[in-house]
Amino acid sequence: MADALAASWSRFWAGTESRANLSAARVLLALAALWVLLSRFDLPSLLNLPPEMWQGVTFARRVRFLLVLPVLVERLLYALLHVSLLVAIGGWMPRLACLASGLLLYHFAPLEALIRTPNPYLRGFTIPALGLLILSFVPSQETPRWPLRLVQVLFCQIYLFAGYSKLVTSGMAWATVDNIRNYLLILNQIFFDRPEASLGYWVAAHPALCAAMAWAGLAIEFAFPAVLFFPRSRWVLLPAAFFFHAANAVLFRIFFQSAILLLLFVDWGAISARRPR
Amino acid sequence: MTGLLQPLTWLAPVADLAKLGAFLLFLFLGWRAGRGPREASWLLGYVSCLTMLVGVLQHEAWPFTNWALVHHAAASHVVTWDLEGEDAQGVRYRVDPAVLQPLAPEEFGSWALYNLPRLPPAGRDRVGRFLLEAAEAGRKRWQEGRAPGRNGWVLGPLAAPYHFLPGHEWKSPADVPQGPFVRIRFWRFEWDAGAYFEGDHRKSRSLLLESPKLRAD
Repeated sequence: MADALAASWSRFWAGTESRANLSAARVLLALAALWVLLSRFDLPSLLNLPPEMWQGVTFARRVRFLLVLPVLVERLLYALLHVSLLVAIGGWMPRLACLASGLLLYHFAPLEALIRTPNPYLRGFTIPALGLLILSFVPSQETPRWPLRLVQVLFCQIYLFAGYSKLVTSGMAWATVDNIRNYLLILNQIFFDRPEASLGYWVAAHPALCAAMAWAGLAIEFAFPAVLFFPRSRWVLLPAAFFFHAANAVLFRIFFQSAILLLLFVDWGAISARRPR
Repeated sequence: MTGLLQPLTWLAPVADLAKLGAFLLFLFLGWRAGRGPREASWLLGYVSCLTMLVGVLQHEAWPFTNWALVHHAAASHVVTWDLEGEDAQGVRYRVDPAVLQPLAPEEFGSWALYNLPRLPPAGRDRVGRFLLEAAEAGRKRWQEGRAPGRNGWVLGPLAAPYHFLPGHEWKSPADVPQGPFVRIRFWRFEWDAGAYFEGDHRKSRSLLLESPKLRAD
């Protein structure tokens, strides 16, 4: 039994990956980060918020994210992060560019939420930070499978633990019509001037649709990791996940900045091999 | 688990440093992983165990995180907030939360709803001044035909939104005063989502912050 598990473990990670897939992963991760970065004006300026807004952030927490430098230095590092991501996208000195980008993303990402929480997930930087670091761990001339596999595993955990957290926190009450209806009403009432004109409101008026959405959402979240083990399932689960995020944005006003990273599961090597030369 | 540990406030800094340690160990194992399959296995085992632990316990160690999202059973009770600016004539206007960028409205709102009532007067004044300056800068941008927030500085309308997608408070020039804001208020709003849906649009509101009034000049 132990031997079988060890063999499965090795099979899952071992082997070589196409250079096209590794390059695509690097470009996708850096692009995803750069898109959010270029959409956040001067994040280091948040260090200049009134001290009352920082009073809940302990020195240990600042040390944890290495946020102990003067704002001027932070701004220079922020500029450097833009440059390192561009260099990573361009493929020049990819290992160094990925390492610098990953470390700087680890440093700056928490600023987005730190006055409230040290856990800035679902803001677009988590998977790029980890992914770029993982890609930097391997010499550029080598193409093992495990780095991309590991990034894919981390991406799948978004769905797996999103589903798990619902059930472990709320139990089956999460999947009830009332719960989905309440989320639809609350989020649309908060974020729309005229919530009655929103699609979310229309869905909230249809209990069968609310129930279907609850179960379909949980099904996608728990089924998504199958893309790791059954490549053919990607034909269904990748479009389903994209539709899931689009529906979340339209109905619940919840936006997922890392949707582009679904393309990490496309076999770019096979596509480029099929392309006529 | 997290709830059990909350009374142990001294543990928070230790936990933060331990999480930094977990990240540094990830970097160390990653640095070694390029040497061969055996070293790579250590990294893969470590990341797999750590992320599973974080996910199962639902206790963050960012960048290894729990990925919880709208996981609570939602009550029908809504609590939210609004910024209100006032011009020199005493006319009041809703302020578009985008003026706070790069601070995300959802982060500011969560912070403010909990912390504003607990701040001493001097702290409230400082936060009030910050909000007033941000609102005024946003008003000027809007009057100049630009977006009230600054996040579109490079990508314009293609800029990545925040996690929650708020509507735009300011839609036309009439939504802001010609002259500067001289005072700002932070209101807490509450209502029942189900009753609101059925047509009862009553909301209760309470004032959590009112900045000192500035001279218009």
